[in-house]
Amino acid sequence: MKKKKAVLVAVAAAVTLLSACTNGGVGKTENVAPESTAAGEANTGETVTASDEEIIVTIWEAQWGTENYEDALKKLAEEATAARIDGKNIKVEVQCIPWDNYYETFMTAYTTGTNPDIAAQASTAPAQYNDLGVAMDLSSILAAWKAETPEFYNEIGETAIRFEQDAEGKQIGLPFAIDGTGLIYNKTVFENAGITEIPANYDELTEAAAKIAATGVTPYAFRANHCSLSNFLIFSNGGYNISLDYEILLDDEKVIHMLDLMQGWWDNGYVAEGTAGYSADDIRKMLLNGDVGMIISNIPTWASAEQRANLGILPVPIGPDATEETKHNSMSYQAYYAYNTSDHPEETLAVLKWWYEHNDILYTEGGNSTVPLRASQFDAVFRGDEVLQAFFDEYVDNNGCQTTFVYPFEHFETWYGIFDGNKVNTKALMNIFTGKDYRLGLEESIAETKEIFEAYGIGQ
Amino acid sequence: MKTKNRSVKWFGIWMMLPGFLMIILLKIYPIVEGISYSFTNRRLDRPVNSIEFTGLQNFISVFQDKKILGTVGFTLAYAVLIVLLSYTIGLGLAMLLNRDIKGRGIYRTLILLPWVISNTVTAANFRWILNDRYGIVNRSLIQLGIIDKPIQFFANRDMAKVMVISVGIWKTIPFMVIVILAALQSIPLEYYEAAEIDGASFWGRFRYITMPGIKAVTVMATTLQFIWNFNNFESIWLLTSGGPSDATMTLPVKIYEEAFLKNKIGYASAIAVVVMLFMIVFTYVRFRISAKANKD
Repeated sequence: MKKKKAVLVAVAAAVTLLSACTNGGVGKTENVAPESTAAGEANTGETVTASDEEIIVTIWEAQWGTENYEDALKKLAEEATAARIDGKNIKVEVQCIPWDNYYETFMTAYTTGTNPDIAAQASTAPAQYNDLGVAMDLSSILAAWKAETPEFYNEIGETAIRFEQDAEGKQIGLPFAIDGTGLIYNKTVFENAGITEIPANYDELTEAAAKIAATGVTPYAFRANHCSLSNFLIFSNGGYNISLDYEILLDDEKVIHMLDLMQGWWDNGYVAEGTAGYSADDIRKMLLNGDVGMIISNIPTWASAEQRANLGILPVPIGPDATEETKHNSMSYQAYYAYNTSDHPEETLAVLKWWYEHNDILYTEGGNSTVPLRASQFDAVFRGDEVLQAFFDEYVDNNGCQTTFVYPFEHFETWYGIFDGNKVNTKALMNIFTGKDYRLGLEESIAETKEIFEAYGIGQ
Repeated sequence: MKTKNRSVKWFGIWMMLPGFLMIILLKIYPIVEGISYSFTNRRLDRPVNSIEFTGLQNFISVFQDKKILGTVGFTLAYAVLIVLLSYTIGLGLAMLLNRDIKGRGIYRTLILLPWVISNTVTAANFRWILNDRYGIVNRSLIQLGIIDKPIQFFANRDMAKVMVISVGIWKTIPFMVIVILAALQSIPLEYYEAAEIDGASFWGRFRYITMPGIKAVTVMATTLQFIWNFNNFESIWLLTSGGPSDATMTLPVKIYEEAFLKNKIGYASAIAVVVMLFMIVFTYVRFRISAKANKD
């Protein structure tokens, strides 16, 4: 009898333990957006407002900076706490999330209900959490800025603001940094090859490649296993991946022309042989060492000031089917967002606004390697650096040429995250760099895109 | 006396309880959860309350996935080749280290190094060593005049396969050496002395004394290593991420991609369940064959 009781006790304890830990299983209800907040309004339940009672607001930031980044974050958090935002006793706690598995870290935190109040991630994250019904509406912060008209407000730009809205216009993210790729060259390699005029289109780039190859240096190296290369080529030719009515344009003639061009470069030995396996660091190192003439990479904050002095920025090249007016480039953002599951929505919004307005220190002391979206912040952080300024002018602040990687879409839609994250449009290029027929890669990309559309209930 | 026995029994049960609960929590619960997801349309980017039961649909999709056959093939090749080659090399090294050679202790320590280095460090080092431009291997081969242009260890599809398997073998050899060496040391020397007196050759001694003496360890070590390598995720993810063009894609990497890059938790769980069933059947058959051989 006692044996039976012992077994029963053990089973009961196990069941209790499991039910306590259960989250996200079939039929579970944790982290389901409450019906009243399904549209994303701040959770209004149980908000502590007494000014003397300590309210904790937590922030998670990805490790954007140097080894000093965590210290800078803590310093900023201490300043935020000391500032008594809105006259309340708000304690700001911050955590720096390492890049290894950061996506899973955030997602696991959400599914286990241990997510922070505020997070900073790639700009695609807010849309994802909005789809899950837990992204807080940040419109009130923008409304406050509109009223207060701080100097930086106009610098954020409509493109970035709209990118972080959902289709209904709800502000789900606050973009603070911009990321994008540009064509960067090694000045010594150009000089040795006798290139005096900066190439402005693909014919001129091909000519430059021939001259560089003649000196025994490989003209190009790319990080092929990333959407940025494909986007760069297609966008500079005036094209894009998916039209507004969800037509898949991956085999559009603007794409084919660029693939043919890349095939020609590859066949002529203009592209480094190891391109299919290079990481971003690999190609940067090769450029800095003068082993290749040009790479497509993001703003060269990855090089020291001394190294940067030997780098130059090429303009967005005009593709064979494009003009100066139709060529464009592909940018993305980093953004802050907040979860409507917060116990203190009002304070969360207040802290987020304060954090956004005071985060200079993350650049100046934390070595944040993202590019500040606001021109005044960019000036403050990178003042006087010609190469970085040239990159910013050409690829970020280029009035008209700047588009996001989801162009022609204005808002980021979650399916695009899968398209981009799974490098769907890289397959044709990867086939070129591994000696296979690029058309097979295109077929694969189109099939995968259709699969994504099907999963998200959208399509042609 | 009876009361004392009972209290001892109760004490034992209570002592086992935390461990039992931890096993349920950390092993049984995730497996049950994973199996339950495999029958649903669970996605990471959809609220939990949108989950629907989809029956066998995920499993049907797994078997209809045109690319999965290639992935299964490479996963099997990866696990089998690593086990076979690391066992063969490990056996040779263990036999050498079992001899009374000078500096045996140092060799035994050195041979453990690949085993104790973390997978992250291993992958980073190999990516660096085998880099086409700056890697020591390519530079040395070019300087020695053996090759005139760099070998594309990670950009060439076939070479990438060879490299991930080679790194796996390098990492697995120490384990094989250690367990085989332990088994070799348990074989009484008298057997070898008697065989020598009877005129048995090296091959005869190896076949009739050494191999039967390490049989149990061989079964255990190869089975465990097959399972570990079949399920190995981080080595391949850190070295090639399954590329180039999916050339080194294995089932664990595919499961990760489906779950965390495509957000298809239901589908990824279905693949994981199929893999788990395969491993259960494999292990059962492996031990049955071994038990039958022992009986005979």
